[in-house]
Amino acid sequence: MGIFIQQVVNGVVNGGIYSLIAVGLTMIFGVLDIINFAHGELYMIGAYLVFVFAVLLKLPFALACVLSLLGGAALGVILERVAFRPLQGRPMANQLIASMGLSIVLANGSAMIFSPTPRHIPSPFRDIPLEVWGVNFSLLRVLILVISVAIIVGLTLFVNRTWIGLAMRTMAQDLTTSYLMGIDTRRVRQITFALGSALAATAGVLVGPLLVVEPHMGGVAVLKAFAIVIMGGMGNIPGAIVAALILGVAESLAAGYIGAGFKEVIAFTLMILILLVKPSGILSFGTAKKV
Amino acid sequence: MSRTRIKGKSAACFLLSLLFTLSLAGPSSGAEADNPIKIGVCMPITGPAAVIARDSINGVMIAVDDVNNSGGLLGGRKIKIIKEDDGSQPSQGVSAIRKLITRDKVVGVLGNLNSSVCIATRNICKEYNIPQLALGCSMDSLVEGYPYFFRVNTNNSFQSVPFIRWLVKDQGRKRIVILYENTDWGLNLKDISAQVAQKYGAQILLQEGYTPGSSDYLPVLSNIKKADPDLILSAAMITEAAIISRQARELGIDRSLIAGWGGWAQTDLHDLADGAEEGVLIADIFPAGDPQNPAAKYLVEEVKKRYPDSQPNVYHAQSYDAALTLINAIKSAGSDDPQRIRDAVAATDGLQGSLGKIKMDPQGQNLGITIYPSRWKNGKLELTGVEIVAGEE
Repeated sequence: MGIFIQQVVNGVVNGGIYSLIAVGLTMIFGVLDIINFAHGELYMIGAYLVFVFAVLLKLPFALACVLSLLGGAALGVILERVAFRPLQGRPMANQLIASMGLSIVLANGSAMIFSPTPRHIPSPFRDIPLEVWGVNFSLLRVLILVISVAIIVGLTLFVNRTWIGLAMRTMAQDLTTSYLMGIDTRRVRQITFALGSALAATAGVLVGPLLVVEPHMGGVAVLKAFAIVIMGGMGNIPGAIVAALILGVAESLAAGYIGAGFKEVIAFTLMILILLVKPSGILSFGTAKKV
Repeated sequence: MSRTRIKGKSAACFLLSLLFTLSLAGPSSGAEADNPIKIGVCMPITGPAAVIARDSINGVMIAVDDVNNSGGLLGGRKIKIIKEDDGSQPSQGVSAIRKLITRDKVVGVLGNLNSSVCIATRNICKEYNIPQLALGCSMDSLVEGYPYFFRVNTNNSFQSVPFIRWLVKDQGRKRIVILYENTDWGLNLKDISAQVAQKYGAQILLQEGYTPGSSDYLPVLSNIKKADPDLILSAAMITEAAIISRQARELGIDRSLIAGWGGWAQTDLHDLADGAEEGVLIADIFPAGDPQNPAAKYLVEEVKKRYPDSQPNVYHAQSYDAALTLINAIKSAGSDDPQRIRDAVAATDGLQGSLGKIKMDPQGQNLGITIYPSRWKNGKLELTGVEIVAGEE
């Protein structure tokens, strides 16, 4: 039983990280109708920014994290203005391909600037092992889980209780009516992109010290994020969170009980099964949105 | 369409195709006094093995620059190195090698690093009769049946059989877990490990495979911890080795249980693993900390001088030796004809390399390899003092 709990706890922590990336992605899709393949690179850039601030510039760790977060948001705003706004109103395929191009540019750009050498970010928390009720994990991982939860809670409050959140939800439902209601759609677009990108960057900031940072780490992450977004229902934030947790735990259990090589197989099989039963996503009630 | 329009169109087409063909002819040799000897280097300059590729290419350049700075080969001709990236992908490697051979007209190839890429590219070199010296590709049985494919560095058997034998017989490890990466290289080492361990009476408790590029080994490591082994054998690239050791530390697994190859032996591991690698045993072929042969000493000095950011390691050494072998072959063949170079490589015997005296066996494998088991201690690799000559039973 002990090992089962261990695997589940691992899975939940991973799920927490996945949810940060996936929620940003689904939010951008829901409000802006943009499928952003470069989202994984924002995650990667978040990690590299911490490397730059904390390791190269030797700033205090907490400050480095906050700056990286802001950097991610800023980059999101820039990308929106430069890459996505000019394509507004065009077929979705155009935006999709533009984002793929962006992904390649950002990943290889990082490889050129930082060299492909994997980097390590020393954090003040190290991998100090803790043991609680027979379950082992490091302090860093606990922190990551706590922070992820706090962010998701904060985000949910933001979306449901603020004017801007209301504006975002309105734009997600009906763009034309939003114009008629006098919503500054351009401002909301910027904010949504900044927020979504900041979330991805935060995931990178959290994961950077835990793993190694290298230019192509965004690729795998974004693939899982898309799987989660589809499972949870595109544009559905609570759905993304639930799906992320399910994926994290499923992967962990699959790796533990069947074999690490089967991790991806189980995860994506699960996605297919869920979609067969509920095509619009786990928490969607209503017709599937045509993509 | 009117007649004149068709005429205009075909004239334009003709002009365009003429221009195109002319541009393909390439630059004329003109007043090129130096007629360089072109050698191709095909390595994963991008991708997860990029760090190893960088060190390997640097090792090659030390040998090449030495030759070029001391008068060149074959009557003053300089060696020109043409680099291509295979990204650790067989398909990319094949295109790159083809380009090096057919367009750049190289007379020899140094590369690749990954076994799966070599499996593909050795066919191209065989097709075009160009000698190829691997800078890695340690999977067994790569040289057999490929008379143009040579390996100066060790193969998996040479590196693992004596090491595991020492661990099981001399060190008394009996309960073994094998943690392997799901690639040609990793699977090969897993098979060899299982075979040798069982031959000397050890028990294989678990065999866990993973896909390189994974970042989560907690489930696998939890299982390993539960199995309570006294030896964990692991063939991993540096990124995975770093993450595995750190997550093992998180779970409270004693890392001195780990004996590894590949990334575990890389000197950069300490930076990435942040001390979690403490206690891990590796089978070193090039103990940079204690070089006893003059070529090794020279190489270590040169690396420190020219590439102060990297620690001298086995990748510098094996690539330096491979380049040395090719250069020596060109010299003794007395010509830049790939066929004669190939024959000269095959006849290499007694050439002093940094790994030992290079002697090619009839299949194309170098036999002059010795293993020095070493342990990670305080961020550095420390020799245990044991020396095992590879290829012996």
